[in-house]
Amino acid sequence: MNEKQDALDRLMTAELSRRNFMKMSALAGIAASVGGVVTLDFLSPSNARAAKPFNFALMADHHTMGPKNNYMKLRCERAVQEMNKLNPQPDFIMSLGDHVHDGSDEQMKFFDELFAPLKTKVKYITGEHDWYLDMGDSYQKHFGKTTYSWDQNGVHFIALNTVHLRDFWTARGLSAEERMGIAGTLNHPLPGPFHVGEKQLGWLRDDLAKVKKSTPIIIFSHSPLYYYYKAWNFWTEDAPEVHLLLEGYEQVQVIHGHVHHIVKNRIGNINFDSSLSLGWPHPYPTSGLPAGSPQMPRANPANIYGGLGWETNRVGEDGGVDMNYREWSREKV
Amino acid sequence: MNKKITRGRVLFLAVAGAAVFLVPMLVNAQRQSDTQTLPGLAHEVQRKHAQSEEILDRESVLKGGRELQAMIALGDQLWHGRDLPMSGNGQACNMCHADGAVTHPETYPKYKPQIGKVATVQEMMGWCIAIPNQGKPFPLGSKEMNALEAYMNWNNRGQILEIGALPQ
Repeated sequence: MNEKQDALDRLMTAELSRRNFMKMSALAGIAASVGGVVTLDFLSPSNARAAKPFNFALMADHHTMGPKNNYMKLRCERAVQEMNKLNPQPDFIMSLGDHVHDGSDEQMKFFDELFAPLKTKVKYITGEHDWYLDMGDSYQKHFGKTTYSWDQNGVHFIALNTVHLRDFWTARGLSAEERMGIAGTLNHPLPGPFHVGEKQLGWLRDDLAKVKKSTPIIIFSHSPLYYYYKAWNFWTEDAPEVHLLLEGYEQVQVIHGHVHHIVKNRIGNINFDSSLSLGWPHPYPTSGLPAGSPQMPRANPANIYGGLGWETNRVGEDGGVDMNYREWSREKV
Repeated sequence: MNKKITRGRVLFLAVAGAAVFLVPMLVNAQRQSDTQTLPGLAHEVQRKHAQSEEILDRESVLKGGRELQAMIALGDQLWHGRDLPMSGNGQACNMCHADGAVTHPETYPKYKPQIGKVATVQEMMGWCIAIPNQGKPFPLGSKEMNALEAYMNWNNRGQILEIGALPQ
C-alpha cells in the first residue's frame, strides 16, 4: 500500500519530464507499439539547441459555460491566482482550446473577464467547442488566428487548428446549435475524426521549409496529433502527414489538450504530452494508454478540483520540454 | 442377407444421428432468433442465466427486449441531458462518464464517503445529479432513474459483479 502511495506521489509531484518518461519507459523494457502506429525510439541522438532555457505555462479545456456553472468559474479563478503567483512569470501562457463549452460570444466574454487579471500574455489555439456554433467567428473575434508560428529563444513554435471536421450538418439541415452540440459531444457517432486539413498541411510545409533541422520545434494542437482512441475522437486522422513533414528534425515536441488527462507518447522523432483540463477529467479509454505513458489516479468527484490543473514547463538547452503537472488532487485546497 | 442387414443398420444409424443432432440445432436457431432483440444479453449469456426454459413464453421475451431497449434509449438521452432536472449548470453525465465509463455499477452497493452510508447505484447517480450537475434527482425507482441505470449497465455489461470492490 505504501509502495503504491509512494509511486503515486512520485507520479504527481515530481516533474513528469520527457527525460523521466524516457527512463520509465526504458526501465519497463517497452518496445511494443500501440494501435499499430505508435513506436518508441529513445536512441535518437539530438544536436538540437535552444538559445537559452526558459519557461512557459499551459492551460486547456476550461469549458466555461458562463455564470450558470460556478464550479467552472472557481477552477478558472484558481488557475489565474496560481499563475499570477509564479515568480518569475513565464515567458507566455498557451491556452490549448475549448475555452468555452458552447461556442457563444457571451461565454467567450465571460472567459475573457475571468482571465483578464493574468499578468502574462496568453496565446490561444481553438478547440471544437470554441468553433462549431458560428464556424470560428466568435473565436477569431476574441482570440485571433488559429494557425501561426513564431521563433523564441532559438525554438520554433507552431500553433495549429486540428479540429476540422467533415461537413456533417449541411446535408442534414442542422441548426448552428445542433451542429455545436454534436461536434461537442465526445462520443457522438456523426462527426467522425478531426483533421488538420490540406490547406493547413500546405501552410505547415511552407513554414517548416524555413526551419533548420537542428532547430527545436514545439507544436501546440488541441487534439492529440496521433491515433489514441477513435470512439471518443482522441484522434487526428491526417496526423501521419504531419509526422512526415516533421521527419528529420532533431527535437520535436507536440503538446495537446482535448483528452483531459495525463498521457504521453513518442512516435519516431516526436514527443507528445497532454495538458490537464480546467473543466472536468476524462477517464482513460478502455483501449489503454500508449506504451510507457504514466497513468494519473482516478479523480474524486467529491473534489471540484479533482483530476484537474495546469502546467508550467521548462524548455531546456536541447529544446526539450520538461512538463510540470500541477494536478490539484495532490494539493491542499 | 448380412449385407442387407448391415445397410439397414447404417441407414437407421444415419437417420437417428441426424435426428439427434439436427433437431436441437433447428430448435435452438428458432430460440436464438427470438432472443436476438433482447439487448444486453447475448444468447449464450441469457441461456446461462435463465432460471428455466419454460418460465417466459416467446411473446414475453420479445416484450422484455423491446421494453429494455426503450429504457436504454431513454437513459442515453438523459445521460447527455444538460438541462433541468438532469443538470442545473450545463454539466452532463456523459462529460465525465462517456459511454458510462468509470461508473463501475458492478461494485455497488458500497460505502460512499460523500453519501455517508452504503449506497445503491441509483443513490450514487442521484448524488452526481444533485452535486456535480446541480440538478434535481428523480425519485429512486422512477422510470428515469431506472432508465439511467439501464443505460449505464448496458455500457458496462460483461463486468464481473464485485460488490464493494475498489475499481482498479
